[in-house]
Amino acid sequence: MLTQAIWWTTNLLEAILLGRAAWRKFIKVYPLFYTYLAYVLLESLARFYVYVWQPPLYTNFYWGTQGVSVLLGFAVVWEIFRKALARYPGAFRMVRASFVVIVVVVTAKILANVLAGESWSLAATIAEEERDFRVVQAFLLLAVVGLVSFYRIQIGRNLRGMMLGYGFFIGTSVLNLTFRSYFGDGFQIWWQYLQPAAYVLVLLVWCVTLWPYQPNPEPGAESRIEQDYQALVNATRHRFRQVRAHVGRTVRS
Amino acid sequence: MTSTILFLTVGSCLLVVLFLFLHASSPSSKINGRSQAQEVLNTLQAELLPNWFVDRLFSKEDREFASSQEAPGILQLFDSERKSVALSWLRQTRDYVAQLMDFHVRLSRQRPDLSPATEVKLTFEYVQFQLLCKVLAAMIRMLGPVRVRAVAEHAADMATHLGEVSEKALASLDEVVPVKVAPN
Repeated sequence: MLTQAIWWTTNLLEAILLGRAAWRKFIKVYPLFYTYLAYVLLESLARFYVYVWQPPLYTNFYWGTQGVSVLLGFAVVWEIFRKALARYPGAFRMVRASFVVIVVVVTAKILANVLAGESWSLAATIAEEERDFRVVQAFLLLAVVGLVSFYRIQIGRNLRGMMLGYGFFIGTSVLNLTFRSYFGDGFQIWWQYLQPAAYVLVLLVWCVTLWPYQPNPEPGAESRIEQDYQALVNATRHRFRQVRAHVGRTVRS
Repeated sequence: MTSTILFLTVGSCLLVVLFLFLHASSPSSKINGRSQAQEVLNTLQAELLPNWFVDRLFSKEDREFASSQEAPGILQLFDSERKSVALSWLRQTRDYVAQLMDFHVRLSRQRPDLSPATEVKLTFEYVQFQLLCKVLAAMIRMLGPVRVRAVAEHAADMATHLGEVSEKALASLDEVVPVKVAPN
């Protein structure tokens, strides 16, 4: 009964979020995030159909669709990264480099474990595979949050909510999946409540923070440093245009 | 078991970091323009970091002179005063370097030509400098300035290097305009 209530609540909240964003026309501003949300909603309804009408297929269907949602999760992380740093090319380069380092380190770790005969990457269960992917997402989010703080980048309410909500979801997923993997089926009774309950919290965070459209504040409003730099860039562009015009006139004459 | 602990640590870390991120307020910058940065850099280089100044502040000659005086309590007074001056110097130096680093960070986040490797190295040096300052402050309090001269010189060298990096960053603002065009 409780799981049913949680399930219907999540669907309702997802529909509200999608409807609100579509109505206020900011669904296009965060396309990957809302694609993810739409997918999760459709996936949930499809699972319900399979659960009721094709019960023997449910387990495979569940983990198959879950795999797609995990991959779409990377798109959400990418959207957070892209939107947070769009106006900060230096910080963008730094985060991109961190992403490369994380992917290389994780791949090296997987290869090392495979060569050593451990099954860290070739997980014994799909749940473990999901956990491994969520751990990578956790590292990526840690890099984004760390560098956003380090570079004192001000982010708007929408993106802050996206980061907090998705980060909370990833953090709790990693913990839940690890416990499930460690305790096995004994944890299933907790799993069926904890994971959806955490997701309801995430959706509530998103409902609050994504209700009105509030983009990131303009960079440099608090500081003249960026304005100095931007002024120099604009001056350079202006002078380049002058040079082009000058060269053009010289060639023509 | 090791993997389980690792995964639990990663998950918990993310939740803690998000909690801190939620409650963190963006520190306001003391430097709000290029001229202010130049001013801070000049003060650091000209007033706080000259070799003669650091040498004198941490030299044993002054203390030997004070100890040679017959007036009672003069050595204790000298030690106490010199200690507070040394701590004040350290505090100011650290504060100025922090302001320049903040300026550098705010500047570099906008720069498309940023080199991640250089930034990581610089951040590492800055963290080293901050730690060294904390150690040096503790040593000054415990041992007095005279006995920590070598460490103080090392801290001053690091501050000088970080100042030079800021100097280059300031100079690079001019390099953004490489073309000189004769007026039409």
